[in-house]
Amino acid sequence: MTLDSDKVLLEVRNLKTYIETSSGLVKAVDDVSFDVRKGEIVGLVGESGCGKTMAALSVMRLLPEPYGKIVGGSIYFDGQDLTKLSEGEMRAIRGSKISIIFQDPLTALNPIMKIGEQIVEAIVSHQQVDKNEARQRAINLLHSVGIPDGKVIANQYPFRISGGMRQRVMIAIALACDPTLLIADEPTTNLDVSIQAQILEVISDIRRKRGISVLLITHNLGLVAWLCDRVFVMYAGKIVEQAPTEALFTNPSHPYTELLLKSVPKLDSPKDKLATIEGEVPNLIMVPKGCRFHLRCPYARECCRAVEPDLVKVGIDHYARCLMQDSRYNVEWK
Amino acid sequence: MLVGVKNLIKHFPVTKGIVFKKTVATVRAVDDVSFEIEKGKTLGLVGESGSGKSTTGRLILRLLEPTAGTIKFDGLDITSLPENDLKDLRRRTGVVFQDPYSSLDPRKRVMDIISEPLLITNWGDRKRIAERVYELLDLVGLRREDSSKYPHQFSGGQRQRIAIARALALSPDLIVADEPVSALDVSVQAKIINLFSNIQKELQVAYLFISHDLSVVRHISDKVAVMYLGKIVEYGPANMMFDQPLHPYTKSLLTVIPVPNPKLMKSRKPTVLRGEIPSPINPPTGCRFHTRCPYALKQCSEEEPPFVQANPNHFVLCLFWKEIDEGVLIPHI
Repeated sequence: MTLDSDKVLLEVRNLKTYIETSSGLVKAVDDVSFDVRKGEIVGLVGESGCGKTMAALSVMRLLPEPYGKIVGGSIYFDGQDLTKLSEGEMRAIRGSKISIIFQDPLTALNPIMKIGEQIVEAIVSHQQVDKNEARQRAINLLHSVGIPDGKVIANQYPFRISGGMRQRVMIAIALACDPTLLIADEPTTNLDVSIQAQILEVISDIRRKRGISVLLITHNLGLVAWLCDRVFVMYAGKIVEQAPTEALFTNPSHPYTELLLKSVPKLDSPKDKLATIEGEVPNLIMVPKGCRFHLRCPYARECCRAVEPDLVKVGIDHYARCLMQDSRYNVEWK
Repeated sequence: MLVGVKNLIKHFPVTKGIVFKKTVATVRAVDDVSFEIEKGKTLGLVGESGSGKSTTGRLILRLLEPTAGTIKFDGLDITSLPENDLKDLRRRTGVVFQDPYSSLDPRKRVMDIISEPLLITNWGDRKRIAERVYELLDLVGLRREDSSKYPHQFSGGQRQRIAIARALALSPDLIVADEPVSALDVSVQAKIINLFSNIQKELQVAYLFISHDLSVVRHISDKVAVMYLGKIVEYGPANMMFDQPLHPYTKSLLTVIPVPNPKLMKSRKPTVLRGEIPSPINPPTGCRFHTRCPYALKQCSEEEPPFVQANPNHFVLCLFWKEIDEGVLIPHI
């Protein structure tokens, strides 16, 4: 992978985030590398427990310490290694340069504070502006996320407004200090289809108008197809495939990606039996040796049990972690 | 026809006060809906939150008292059967809920969970019941040994299998499945959907499959009903509805569902509906969808649209469906 510092905004390299639990050490993020370029929407997809949220929280340095820790690797943001920063320095970046929105805006918002105040708080904690100006900006922000009557909404408490409205408010708070990177962790999972479409419109709108980069964390491959320029697919703590969106969908090169795509019911091809993946997601305390997917992989061979595959190049910007794609081993399948 | 529903209405009172309760408003959860479920077939019921789809499911099972209308089950009018006479209905229907974590008793073993309906109905002696449980476990893809485990020892997908086995215990004619795959991961979801299809092929059980996910509904259903604010706005055979939707609401939904196909996503023009879903306490006058409809005219806010048959078996609740379908009326947003 070539690194062009003019274009790359976030570069996560060999990140390892482990969590101590009563039943053992969970290697939630195990040697993961990904990058987000300027103005790009990048998807990080995977099923529950694959480590995608832990990867995002690592970037924000919001891990549940002391149990969750970054034990290795680096996170370069704008040329600065975030893993080396103190908590104070990190605080200056959080919310001002990198913002995050979560799946459930009701728990993310303060229930006993008016919405306007919460946005104002985000503004004044990073910028030198007086309250009146901050208040005006809050209303403008609400306007820019599609809430025309910002004045009315700013005076409400979070429980008074709908889920879609709350997510808009979360985005307004996230945008309060003009961040360059927005991390969206399952931003529309709890919302109805018609409301989801509105929120996605807001997200692609702010990318277009403000040039913000977005790291979209989701389990929904449809969202990825809709919004993302590039995708990283995670499985059991590892990136198993990365590609430009179109390449991933037209030419999935890891068996997991391939099966995942086939297992989604589609509007355009109904009724045939859906593909399934045998077995269950492995426990991240005792990951299988060799390729992590080999126990569930229909193509698995002897070598998959012993050798842990590397990410190998399969196309432009397209990499897959599978021995089938590796010239040193792929004779076995031919 | 297994289930026939006509002009079904369910209103919930909103009360104020504790001692002197008075009704201050009405939630029109289900407001005049009609549909049929064929033997051994699947009716998909789609809609967003608050559209009344779960309430409809509960009404058919007579877990709720209908306010008005009729429900017929296998020819028998069950609308106002007293609780005592409902035993037969209970035996012939099953239910699967969304959350397999809260729908299974955590202190009971799988054997006890699945055998409960069998015991209650005096289905047979202990040995026969145990045999039946093993048979059911086999049918849903679990092992005999699993019968001595507790729900917490299973994953979400496996728990849903247990719930399905319980619903099938008495060989019902109808299963109401309320968002049965919404809490599951994609790869697990596919397995459960396949399981539903296989069971139907084998046992000819009918499903009322309630979901907010149009792709899932299209995959599994023979017929589909789309609900919006307590009304069925479109009803018809699945392929017809998805290939040629007539109601503006269905049309719009079909353009905003994320589909895992980037080329299609880039080429299509999403019609994003404005505004929020109105409250079913004070639904809009006239057509309930007019506040968000991209085609709405003045007449739509005044006149309630009739449920008309647009094509054979294909019904739509819209005053101007024809004009929209012929392209005479174009969206103004």
